Amino acid sequence: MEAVVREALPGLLRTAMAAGLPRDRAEDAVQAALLVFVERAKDFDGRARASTWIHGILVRKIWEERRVARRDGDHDDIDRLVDNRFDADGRWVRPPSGPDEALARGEVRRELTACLESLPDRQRVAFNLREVEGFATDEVCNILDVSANNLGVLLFRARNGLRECLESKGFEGSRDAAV
Amino acid sequence: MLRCNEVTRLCASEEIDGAPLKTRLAVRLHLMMCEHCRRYVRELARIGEAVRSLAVSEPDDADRDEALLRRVLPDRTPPPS
Repeated sequence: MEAVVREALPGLLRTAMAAGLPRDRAEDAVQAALLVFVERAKDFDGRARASTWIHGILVRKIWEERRVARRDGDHDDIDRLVDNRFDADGRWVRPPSGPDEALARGEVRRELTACLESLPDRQRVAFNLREVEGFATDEVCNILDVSANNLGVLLFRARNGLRECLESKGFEGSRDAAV
Repeated sequence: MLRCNEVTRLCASEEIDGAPLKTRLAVRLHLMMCEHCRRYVRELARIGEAVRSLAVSEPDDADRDEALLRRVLPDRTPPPS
């Protein structure tokens, strides 16, 4: 039990902060979720991974407290931004020219942090659970209580949101690099 | 089928993973031939790597973690001294 909790702790804190909580409130939320887990551990049948289960409790609590809307809107600015990159035949008219080598060399940490913060909470959490915590897509669906389609939309928007944000900040290789 | 906007949507949403083999092969072929879509997919991969590396570079706060664990775990027996 202690091993499970200890191992899950860093990821839970990251997830709580990805959901938009500042560090001290993230700790409170993680503590509350872990207390629920510890209390209910005897009911836990082990079919789902423990960390998936605890993450689900954590996210649910955070959304309830903050009364975050259940789903992403049907339309989002990022959808339009992405759409505008293609012509009527679906071909690129404004091909991607975001940071590539610069990202690989770790040169864009500050911009990346800013772009992450600019994402809507639900998109950022979905992205975090998938890319950082490494949950499989069906586990992320479980944790967030969304359908596979919904998750696809969240990930599409998060990834494009980050890519567009980074490209707009201008780096080597981009045509309109900020001077 | 398989326009650039469809390819990028399939990849960014990860719908490609559940798609039929025919579609997955078509995407792979498209990526072989389209440098823009190749770049797009590469940029997404780089972003994922960069965010992961950001996350693990956050300093650990062992004292804070221990304090939290103590509040959560009942009747922890202290490690043998």
